[in-house]
Amino acid sequence: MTSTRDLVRDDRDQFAFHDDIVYLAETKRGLTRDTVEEISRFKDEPDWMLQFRLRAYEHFLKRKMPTWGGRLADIDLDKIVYYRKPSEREEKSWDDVPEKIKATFEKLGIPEAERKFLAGVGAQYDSEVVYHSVREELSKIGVVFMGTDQAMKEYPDIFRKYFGTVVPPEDNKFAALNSAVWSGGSFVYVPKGVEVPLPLQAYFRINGENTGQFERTLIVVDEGAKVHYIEGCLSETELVSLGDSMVPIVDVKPGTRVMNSDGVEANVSAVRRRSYSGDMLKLVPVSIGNAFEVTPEHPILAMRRHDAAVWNGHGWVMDEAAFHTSDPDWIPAGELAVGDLLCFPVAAKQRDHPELSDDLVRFLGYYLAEGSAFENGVSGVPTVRLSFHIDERDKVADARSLMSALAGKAAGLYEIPAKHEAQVYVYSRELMDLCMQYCGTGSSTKRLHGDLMELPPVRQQLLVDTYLLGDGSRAPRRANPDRTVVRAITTSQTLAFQLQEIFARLGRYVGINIRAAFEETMPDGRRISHRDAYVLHFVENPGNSYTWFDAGRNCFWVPVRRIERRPYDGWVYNLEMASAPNAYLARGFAVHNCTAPIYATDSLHAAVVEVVALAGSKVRYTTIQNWSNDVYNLVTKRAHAYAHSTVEWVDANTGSRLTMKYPAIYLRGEGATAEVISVAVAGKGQHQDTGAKAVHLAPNTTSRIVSKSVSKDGGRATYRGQLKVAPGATGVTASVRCDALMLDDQSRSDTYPYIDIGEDDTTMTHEATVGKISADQVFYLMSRGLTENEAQNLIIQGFLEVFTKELPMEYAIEFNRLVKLEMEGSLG
Amino acid sequence: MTEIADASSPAGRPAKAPRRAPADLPFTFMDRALVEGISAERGEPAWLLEDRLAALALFEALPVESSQLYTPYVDLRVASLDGAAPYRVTATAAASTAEGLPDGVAGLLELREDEVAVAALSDEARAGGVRLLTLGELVATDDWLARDLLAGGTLIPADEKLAELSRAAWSQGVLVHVPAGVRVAQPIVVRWAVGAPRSVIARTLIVLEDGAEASVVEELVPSEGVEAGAQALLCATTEIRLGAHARLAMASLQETGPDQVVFQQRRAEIGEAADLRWALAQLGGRIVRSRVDNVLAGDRGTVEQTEIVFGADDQLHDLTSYTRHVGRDTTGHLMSKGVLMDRARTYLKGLIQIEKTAVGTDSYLGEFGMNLSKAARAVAIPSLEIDQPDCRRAAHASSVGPIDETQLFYLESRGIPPDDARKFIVLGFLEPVVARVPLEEAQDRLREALEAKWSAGLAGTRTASAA
Repeated sequence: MTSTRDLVRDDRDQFAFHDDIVYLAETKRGLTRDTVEEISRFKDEPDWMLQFRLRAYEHFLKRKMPTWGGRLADIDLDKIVYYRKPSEREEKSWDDVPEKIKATFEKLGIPEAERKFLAGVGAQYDSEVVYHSVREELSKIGVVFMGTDQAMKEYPDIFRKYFGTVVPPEDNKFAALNSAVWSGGSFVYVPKGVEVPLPLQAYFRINGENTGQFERTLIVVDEGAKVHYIEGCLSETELVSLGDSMVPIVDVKPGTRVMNSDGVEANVSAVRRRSYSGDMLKLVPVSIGNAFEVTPEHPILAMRRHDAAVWNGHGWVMDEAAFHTSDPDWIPAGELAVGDLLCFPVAAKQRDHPELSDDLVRFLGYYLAEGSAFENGVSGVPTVRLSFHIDERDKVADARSLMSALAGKAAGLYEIPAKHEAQVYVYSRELMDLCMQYCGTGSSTKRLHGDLMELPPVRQQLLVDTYLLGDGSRAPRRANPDRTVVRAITTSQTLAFQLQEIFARLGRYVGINIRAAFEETMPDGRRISHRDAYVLHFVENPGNSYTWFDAGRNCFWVPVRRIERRPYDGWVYNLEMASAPNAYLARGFAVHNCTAPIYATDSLHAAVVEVVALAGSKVRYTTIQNWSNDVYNLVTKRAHAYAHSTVEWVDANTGSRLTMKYPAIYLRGEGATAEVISVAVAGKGQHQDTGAKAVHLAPNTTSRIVSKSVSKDGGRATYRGQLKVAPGATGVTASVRCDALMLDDQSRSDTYPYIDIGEDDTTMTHEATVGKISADQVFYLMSRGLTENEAQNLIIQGFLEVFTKELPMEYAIEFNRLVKLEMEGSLG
Repeated sequence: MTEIADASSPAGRPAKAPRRAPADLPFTFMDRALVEGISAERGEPAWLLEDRLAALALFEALPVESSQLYTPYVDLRVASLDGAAPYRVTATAAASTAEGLPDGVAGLLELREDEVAVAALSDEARAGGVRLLTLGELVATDDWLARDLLAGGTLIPADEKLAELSRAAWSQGVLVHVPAGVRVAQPIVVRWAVGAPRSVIARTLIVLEDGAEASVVEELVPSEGVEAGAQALLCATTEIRLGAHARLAMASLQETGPDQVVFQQRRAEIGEAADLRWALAQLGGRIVRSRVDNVLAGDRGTVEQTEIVFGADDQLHDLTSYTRHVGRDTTGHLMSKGVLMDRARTYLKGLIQIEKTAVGTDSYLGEFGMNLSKAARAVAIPSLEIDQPDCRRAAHASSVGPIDETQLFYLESRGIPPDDARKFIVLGFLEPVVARVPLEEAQDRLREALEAKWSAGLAGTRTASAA
């Protein structure tokens, strides 16, 4: 689709781009002993693994659901599909990955990332690793980086030696669940003394609704070796910037410029997608062609009818007083009623383009209505041709003179009395190119160039005048013959919406009706088939107006004519705008980004990560968790640190509905060092119950825990951590620091540190503070020219810097952007 | 010890009682018959029996630890109280003369087991309308006030099993009542001597009306002539009400014997601009489980709580403080310090709750431990739950470590022998509480007790290392 009009549609039929993946193996919903055995059989596993799974399954049944931490009551374990396998075998190279899956990954931007600097990519699609590539140099130095399932078969000895030793199935209910049904995940083995120079990375995402993600990651770092592993969880596509275009919402990428609810172009910073099952609402305004579909909770900028209109005996007309005193509101679509007024913003951007002469603009009006531009099929001669009715002599003369002037040579006239047609034509490459550039060609694919859309209204009037001379018709209104109805018909949908926008800038709300495709037989026996056509119509000299221009807000208010409901089961999309207001246009109407959709069903992510850091090794494991807001993220992460090794968990949580994750380090060897940096941002409807655990089992071990949390919009951030020094672990040094920032008083922040010291010469310090953003800081930054929002962002980024500075640069930027998004979501 | 020997000989193994879980109660005497019996024998009015039975229902429904935060840190296994039958009828008294009053004290009520040893109140205090009496006396003589204080408006936390035990089965109690605007310059002393293998179940009420000022020293000491070996229980609640602008300094020195089980639940409701200062010292007991609830209900209220624990041998001190900020611009400053020797265990649990209404709160919680022995164990759980970010301060800090080597080095460099230097550092660590005890004589006694405990512990360590 090509157009310069930055309009975002909300078309459901475009949505199914990933629904057609064929799952080759899939278990039934719910968990039984059979499910566990079935998974093991699918994967063709050795018997010990089956026994391991069954042992875990038994424990899972016995274990009660945790009652502490967050609310888990809404998880329905019987509705989850525990195993899904989208492709038959492990893939070695990107080229071998099935097209459909590859397309999904390309949307995630993974190949980009790989090309740039990543050492290896393990991308988990649903429950199985489908793609792994390890750079040659890594293979050469003996680093193993592959799917966990593959590792079980290819490196059985080392795999069996360590698997399940760090996190035994009996550890907690969700570790038991993972152990019973695990699939996918990554296995990393770094041989003695090898330093992996670049971070290893794996992407996970949950694809299907209600597909549990039960990956299992095992990292074994042999003596003196070093590795940094990065895990990114992106279920919401965060993509690279593309150019601007009018596109269905599925094709919108972050960075695309679309028009926001103020009629200003703004960048899309993220496209959100989620699966949705339930009613879909079609809002049909008086202009039927502008009907659009949204989910019922989606906020729409609207005014209640009773706030703005009065009944005058024939219809609802504007109530001047009320209209100017009442404010529009973001109303969920499901709460709108017929007659409520929707906001149709007028584009604010205006720029003159002197290279577009008045003559050219007028000519293009004719061209849009009647013209075609092409290279003659036989001779290849560039041609521009306009067709008029043979009786329209004035127009023919006007068009002919314009054409001659613009082409620099006399335009020809060819009359075909049999068809009642008069053709004006010129052979000119320049003019053909201009026509193609500014208006395109073909009656159903014509569109206006962005430059034309930006012209000052006076000049756009020229274009519209000649367009209506060509395509327009005037007729007395049937109901009221004093009024003249002007209509224009085009088969180009894009052009129809663009003209509607131009008319809006000229102070007139033009309705669009749709005339469905039909065939007719002419009196002479010819059959003519008509495509879908868009009928622009307005009343030239209106008496009562049913749509009102609102100069103050520079928009039109258009009543809802009817609301249709239909059941829908599929993907729905939403856009995040990079700047306030966080709202965009669906078929011209202002629709708010919906930051907290309500989900009918909930996904569960219960992963287990085991890290074994042998003597003298160094491991860092970085996670940026940005699951969508319907995911329960219940993850067990634990490392065993042997003598003089260093283990670092760097853990950020911005997504999910509920995260309960406490990365742990058991310091088992003398002189081992542990560090956990945990960052959480809890927004609306979110609970981040995160923290850390350091268990000192050996002498002279050191641990440092730093936790930073931000809560806002009623979100809840909880730090829950444990520091334990076992008897015999002498000379331990430990510190715990937790800071929390609360952005409003709807939010909540809790700190629950457990400190259990069983040895006398431990040195342990702990500090925690909770506060809000200081007004002084904001004021200072604002005095330096920042907006309040920017100032808050800057302060929050500074607050979280302890985390971002540990990230490779690109991730730090990405993370800052994520946090910023969360912040703006709250203000937009 | 003998049991272990028995266990090693397979034939002679005695039938063991089933092992108790950490949160199982160490006694079985509590039932409806006991509660009804106590009430009947004491000849109590019907409303009081009703209140006791309401408490019994709560007692039966509640778990020992009602906060899930702390369930892993409950351990009552070393307590064994089946031999400690509760007192039922106890002596009553009201302090109506100054007879037997020591110097520098405005009032003294000394309770020995189920007896009243001394009940005395200075003439000035009596003239000001101050009342110091047992609860039995109150019920018998002032039904209206008793009803007001004991039933209905009780401050006993409804989520605390052991507090409801006191409310249901108390047989002894104390009321300190200071009328509005009255300032009692000298401290009032309430002394409990316990330790006979019985259960003392008690309630203490301290009521300061608007603008009143007082200081109270509570002393928990062992009864004379009690033989070692059998465990005794002291299960006591303290309810403190401070009216607007009231000021109370409250010290409690717990120096009970080595077989004493102590359950203490204290709750203070602090009114507008009222001020409460706690100085709590935990030295004695076999196992001590204590909870303090400070509720800053009025605007601009202040609470300062300083608590020390000095644990030795196998002592277990399990201490919880809740500070709940409700009013605006309230201030809370809590500090707990523990010194641990031998195999002592100390749990320091603290929770600051800042409610949505509590704008402008300043709250601090510090938990500091000093481990002097390899076998000692200190647990610190300082928590925050914050619903209102608009606060002056909401912070907690904790640390656990050995004696600071640099301090030691400094003192030794001044010619102080190492043992003395250690003593000074440890006693200095605990001094903040000693200094806050409002009675000089009690301060001296506390210092002596701490020193004695230090010396005994040191001797113990020496014998242990020599062995």
